[in-house]
Amino acid sequence: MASDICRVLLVDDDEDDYIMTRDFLSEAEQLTFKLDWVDSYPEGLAAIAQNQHDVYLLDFRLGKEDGLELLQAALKLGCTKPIILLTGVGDHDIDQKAMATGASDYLVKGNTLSATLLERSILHAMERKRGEIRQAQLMAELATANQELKDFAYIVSHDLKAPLRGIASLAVWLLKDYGDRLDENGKEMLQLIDGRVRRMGDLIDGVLQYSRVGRVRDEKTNVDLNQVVAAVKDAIAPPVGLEILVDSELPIVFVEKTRIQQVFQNLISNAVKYMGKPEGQIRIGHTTDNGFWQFFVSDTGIGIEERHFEKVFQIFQTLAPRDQSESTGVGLAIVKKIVELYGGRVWVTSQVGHSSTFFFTLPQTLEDRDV
Amino acid sequence: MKSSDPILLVEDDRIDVLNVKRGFKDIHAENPLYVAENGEVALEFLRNSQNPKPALILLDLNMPRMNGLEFLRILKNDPGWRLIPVIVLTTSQEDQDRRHSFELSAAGYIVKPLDYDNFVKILQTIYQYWLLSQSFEGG
Repeated sequence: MASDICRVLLVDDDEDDYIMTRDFLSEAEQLTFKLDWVDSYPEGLAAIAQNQHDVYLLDFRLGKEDGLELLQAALKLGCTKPIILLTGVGDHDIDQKAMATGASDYLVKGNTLSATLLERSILHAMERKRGEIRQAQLMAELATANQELKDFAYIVSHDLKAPLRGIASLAVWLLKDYGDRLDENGKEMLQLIDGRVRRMGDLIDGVLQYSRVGRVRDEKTNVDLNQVVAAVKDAIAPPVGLEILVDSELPIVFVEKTRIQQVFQNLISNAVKYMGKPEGQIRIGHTTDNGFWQFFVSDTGIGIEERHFEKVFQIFQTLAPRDQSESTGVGLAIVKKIVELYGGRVWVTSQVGHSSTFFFTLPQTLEDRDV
Repeated sequence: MKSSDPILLVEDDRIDVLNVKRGFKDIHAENPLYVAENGEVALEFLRNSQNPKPALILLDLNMPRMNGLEFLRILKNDPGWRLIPVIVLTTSQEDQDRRHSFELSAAGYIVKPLDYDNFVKILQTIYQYWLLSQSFEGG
C-alpha cells in the first residue's frame, strides 16, 4: 500500500489550515499523500470538475460561499470521489447537514484533530465511497434485470402463445375435416398434439402468473381472511363428501387482497385435488407465535413423502406423471413466493396415505420485502 | 348491426384469420368479412371510398408495421370512423393493454382462447350481441 499515492485537494482560505493538513498528511502511515491546495470556492469547483484527485477536503468557511454549497455544486457536477467537510468546533448542525447532503465524513478542526484521525477519515471515506458506487451499480443492474423480466413476461404472453394457438386450431381442423380419412392411430396422434398444446398453454400461463407476483403490485388493504377463505371455498366448489372447516376466527391482515387470496386458493384447491378419495376433510386455522401468525391448511388426502417436502414448492415440480396430471406445478411455487415476499415462511408436514398439513407464517406487522 | 353489414378483421396471423372465417361459417354469420393484415392496411381499406364502411371491427393488438393500439388511436380520433365499434381480440393478458384499449374506447376486450371450440363460443356471443345492438349509422 505504501507505494499508492493518494491525491488530496484541500479547499481552504486559511493558509495555516493548509500547513497543518500538509504536516498531518506527511505523517501518514498507510498511504502516501500528495496534497494540492486552492483557497477559494471557484478554484475549488474548477479543480473538482477536473476530477484529478482521490479525495476532497472542503473547509466550511470559504469567503462569501461555504463548504456546503461547494459540496452541493460538486455533487451536481457528478463528483464520485469522497468529500470530507472541515468544520469549526460546535457546528453540529452543519455537520449533520453535510452528511445529509452527501459528504463522506466531517472533521472538526482544532485540538482534537490529529494526523491519525485525518488519515483514518480519508481511508474510511474512500472505502465507503467505493461501496456506495458498487451499490449504485448493483441497483442499476437490478433495475435493468427487472425491466428485462417484465419485457420477457410480456413477450411470453404475446408471442409464445400465438403459434401455439395456431397448432391447436390446425389439429382440431385436421381431425374435423380429414378425420374420416385417418385411422385410429392417426386420430390418436392428433389428440396427443391437442393435449400437449394445452399443457404448453398451461405452462405459459403458469410462468406468467408466477412472474406477476413480483411484477404487478396492488394496493394493500385490511383484508378479513375469514371472508377470503369463504370466497375461496365458494369458488372451488368442493365435491360432495369433502368437508372444508375453518377451525379458528382468522385475523384481519394488511396485504394485497389478490395475493393472499391466491395463497389460500392454491393451498385449498391442492388439498381438494390430492384428496385421492371421494370423502375427506380439509381444516383451515391459525395460531399466533412470537409476532407471527401461523396458518395451516390440512387435509386427509394422499400425503407427500418426506423427501419431496422441499421439492413441492419449486416451480414446475409435480409428483404425478405429467401425462396424467392436470397440474403444472406452479401453485405452491406461487404460494412460496407470495409468503416470502411478505417476510413469512412456508412448509409442509405429512403422513403418506393419511394427511398433509401446509403451514405458512405472516409477520403481524407486515412489511414488504421487495425493493 | 344487420346480418348483411360488413365486418373488418385486422389480423396478421393467417391461422387466426382462418379461425375467424371458419368460426363465422360455423355460427352461420353471413356478413361479408374483410381482412387487413395490420393497422396500416386497415386504414387504407377505410380510406378507400370503394370499400364499404364496416359495422364492426375485430382488432388484434400485436401486429407488424402498425399495431392494434396505434390503429385504434387514429381510428378514434377520426370523426368519420370513431363510432365504429371495435372489439379487441388478442393474446395479451397484460393490464396495460386492457387499460389502453378501453381508454381508446374499445367496445370489448377478448383474450383469444387456446382451443378452437371455445373460440367459436366466444365468437357466437359477440356476434349475437352485435346483431341485437342498433348501430348509429344505417341503424
